[in-house]
Amino acid sequence: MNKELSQQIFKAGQRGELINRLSMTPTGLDTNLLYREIFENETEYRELYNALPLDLVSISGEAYFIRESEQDDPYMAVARNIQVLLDLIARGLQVCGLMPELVDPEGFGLTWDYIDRFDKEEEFSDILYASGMGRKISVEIENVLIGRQIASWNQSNRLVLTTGGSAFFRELHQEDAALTGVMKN
Amino acid sequence: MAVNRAETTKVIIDHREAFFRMIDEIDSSGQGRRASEEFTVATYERYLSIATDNLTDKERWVVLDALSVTNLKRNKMLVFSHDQTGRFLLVGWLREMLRSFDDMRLRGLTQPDLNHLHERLAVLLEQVKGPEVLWIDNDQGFNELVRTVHDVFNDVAYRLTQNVAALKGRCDALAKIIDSADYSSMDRAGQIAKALEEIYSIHERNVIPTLRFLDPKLAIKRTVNTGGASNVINAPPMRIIEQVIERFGESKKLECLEQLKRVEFQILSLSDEVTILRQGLEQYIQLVEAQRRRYEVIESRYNRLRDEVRDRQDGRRRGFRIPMDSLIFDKAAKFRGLKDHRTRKGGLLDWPKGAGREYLDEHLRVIRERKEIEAVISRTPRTSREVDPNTLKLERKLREMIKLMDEYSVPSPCGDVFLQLHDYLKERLYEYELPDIVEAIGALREPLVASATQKNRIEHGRWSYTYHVRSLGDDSAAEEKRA
Repeated sequence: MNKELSQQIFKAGQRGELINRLSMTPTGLDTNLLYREIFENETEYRELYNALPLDLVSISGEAYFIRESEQDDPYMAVARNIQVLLDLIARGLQVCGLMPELVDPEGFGLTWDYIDRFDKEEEFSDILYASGMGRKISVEIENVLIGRQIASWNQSNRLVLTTGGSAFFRELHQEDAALTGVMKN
Repeated sequence: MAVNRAETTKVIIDHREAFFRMIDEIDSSGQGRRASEEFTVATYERYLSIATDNLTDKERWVVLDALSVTNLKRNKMLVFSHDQTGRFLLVGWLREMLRSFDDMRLRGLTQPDLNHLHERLAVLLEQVKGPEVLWIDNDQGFNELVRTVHDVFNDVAYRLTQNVAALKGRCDALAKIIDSADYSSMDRAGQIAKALEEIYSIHERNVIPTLRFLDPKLAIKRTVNTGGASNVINAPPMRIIEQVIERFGESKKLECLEQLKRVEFQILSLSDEVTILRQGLEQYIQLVEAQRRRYEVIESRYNRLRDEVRDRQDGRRRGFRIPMDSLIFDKAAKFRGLKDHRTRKGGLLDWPKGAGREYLDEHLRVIRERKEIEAVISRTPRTSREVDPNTLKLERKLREMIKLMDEYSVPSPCGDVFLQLHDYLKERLYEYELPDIVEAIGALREPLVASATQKNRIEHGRWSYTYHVRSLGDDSAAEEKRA
């Protein structure tokens, strides 16, 4: 275990950020040293955090994050915000006739023009507010998705998801039996 | 200057790029325009001008003379030319010739086109089976029938061959776009989405109907107009072709039989090509279907979320937020517990009473100082007061004491109220000091009676307090006093 990296990992975990497999650099996507450090010493890191007691959670092998070990009332506010924002972005892309792959980590990215357009959607604003967030999606993208490393701005200043964010985005829109059941009912 | 038909055709072939551009413009336009292949004079002249831009003046005029609408009209190469609307249509053989230069621009046969071919074959079968046909070689009527059969068979074969080439050409071009998986620009991403949809459309509207047409076993019931009367065709097109050929066999017209069999085999061989094409398209179809399912999931998730919000917008001031435990947030469980664990932004803390209060005080003091610094940095004029940490501590202690005294009542009987109060505060008030009792006494609600003779002394820390002992007063006396 690398002492310096382990400290950075802990700080990132304390800030409630994802540690993604790839990180955005000024020249594009590159290997994230923090992720690699955990990946190569996963057993040791799990033991270390379990003793605190914290859990090291893996998101489909694309990212890690740290949370407190099992609680009776797990903290859900950030998780809820992430889900709602990704649902709204997916809907926005669909309405604009754009493929969801556009916001993949290596995709072209979503330009500010489109994000501004989403800001003006009254329904989006209502959904954000009813979900406990502010009314502007652009602000919440910055606060929640960028702040937690679920998304980032690429070198052309367009919004793309990080590897962890993208894994969750895909999972969110996979068909599931429960949802199909609800639709049929 | 008039240019003859052969020369004009040659010039058209030499400058086919200009025509291709117009064909592409029509093909990419709306459904209504795409159905017709009319060119507008303005567009035609614009593309001609671009195509002849690099030529010398002399060559340029030769080309422009040959390709002028007037010259095309003179050579009967136009179906029509409307001066009022500025539109014209090239004759069919020219249009087909231009499209046949590039498979990508060929047009596939759709279900109505195939129905038309099916009807022609059905009419042909009626004629072949007709009692008036004399199966004699030198009979003029028979010879005309043979020619018609050949014409129809060859035309069906030609159109189906063109159709297969068109489908292959178009699908190859689209597959290249999709296989590039190039999301490096909004345009490219849009093109991929369009290409996928077009492949799906070709599969459904051209490939599947063609395969059905070529399947001799698939019975498709159709009502067609044959010879002025409506008849129901039960036989598939390839079965009709077989029946026509069988009729020649029955009449021992072996030469015709052989020729027609060749055409039949040629048509049947297309079936294999279309099957291979369909298999090649399968992966793209699966991709489109997966994409559509994904869009459906996105839409249904969004609709659930929107409906949940709408149901709550009933004008009430409370309860309009979706509760955190709503099923709608089920998938978010993956990120449960993701929060900023730093104290400043963490969740609410249940601070233990007493223990660690010095840290809280220090924390509050740091926050207060930081806010002051931030206020200075932001340069917003505001009235700030100097806060002494000790003042802050006293304020907090006073608030806590008021709260404690609200909860306190002197137990009855009580011989020494001050001593009792001292014991109460000593246990509960953080950083209690003896002088604090003076404030606390002022907050007592019960009437007290002071003893004139009995004194007591409390010592606590570095302080001591000597006083006349107070006991609880008589209620009636208190009532009188209040009155």
